[in-house]
Amino acid sequence: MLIGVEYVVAAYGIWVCTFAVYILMTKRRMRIAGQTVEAIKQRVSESSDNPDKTVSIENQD
Amino acid sequence: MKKIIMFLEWGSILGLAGCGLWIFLKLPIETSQGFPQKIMYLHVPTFIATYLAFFVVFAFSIAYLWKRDLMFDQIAKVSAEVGLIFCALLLVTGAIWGRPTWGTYWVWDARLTTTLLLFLIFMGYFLLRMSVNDRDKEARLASVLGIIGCLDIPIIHKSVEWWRTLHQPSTLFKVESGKASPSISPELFTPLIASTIVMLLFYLYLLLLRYQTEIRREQLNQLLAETQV
Repeated sequence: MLIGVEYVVAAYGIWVCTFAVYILMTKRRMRIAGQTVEAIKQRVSESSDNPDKTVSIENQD
Repeated sequence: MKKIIMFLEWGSILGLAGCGLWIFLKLPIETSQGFPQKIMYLHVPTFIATYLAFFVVFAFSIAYLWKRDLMFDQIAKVSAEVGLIFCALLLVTGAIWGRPTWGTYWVWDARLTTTLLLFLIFMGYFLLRMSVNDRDKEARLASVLGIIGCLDIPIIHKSVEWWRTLHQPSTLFKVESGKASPSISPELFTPLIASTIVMLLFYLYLLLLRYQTEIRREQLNQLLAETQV
C-alpha cells in the first residue's frame, strides 16, 4: 500500500484540471472574438453598400 | 503561427503524458519522502516556468517603455497571465507537497512568503490594467509595475540562502567550490530535466495561444472604436 497517494493525485489533478479549463476558455474567447470581428466587418460593408441602412454594434461580445 | 501552435500543443501534451508515464511507471519510489516525492516532477518545472513567464514580462515591459510599441505590452500582458496561473499552481502544489513532508500545508517561510508576494503583485498588475481606460496609459503603468514585480524573483531565488527556511535549497544544482553539479541522483535528475523542458514547451504553447486571442481582442476593440466614430 502506497502512503501519500492522495497528495500526489490532488497535486496532479488540480494542475491538469486548471490548465484544461484555461485552454478551453482561451480557445472559446478566441473563437468568439474572431466571429464578432467578422460580423462587424460584414455589417460595416453592408452599410457602406447601402448608406440608408443603420448599423447597430451593440451586444456583439 | 497556427501550425506552430498546433505543433506545440500536441508536442507539449504528448510530452507531459510521456513524462507522467515515466515518473509513475518507471521511476523507483524515493526512500526518504516516499510516494509524495513524485510531486517534485510537477512542482519544480512549474517553478521554472513561473520564473520564465515573469522574466518575459520583465524583458517585454522594458522593451515597451523603450520603444512604445503596443505589441511588446501585449506579450508582457499575456505572459503575466500565464505566469500568474503557473505561480498559483506553484503555491498549491507546494502546499500539497508540504503536508506529508513538513507536516503542514503552509508556513510563513521566506521562500513561500516571497512567492505569495509575487502572486499578489501580479494580481495587482491585472487590477491596475482593468482600472485604466486609456490604452497607452494602461501599458505604461503596467510596464512599470511589471518591472517592479519581477524584482521579487531574485529575492525568491536567494531566499533559501539569505534566511533560515523550512524550504529545501536548490533541487536542481548545488554549487561546491565554484562548480555546479546536480543535487539529486542521476536516476531522479534525468526525468526532472525532461519534465522541465516539456513544461517550458507547454508555457510557450500557452503564451502563443493567449497572444493570438489578445490580437483578436485588440482588433475587435479597434473595430468597435472605429465603428462608433
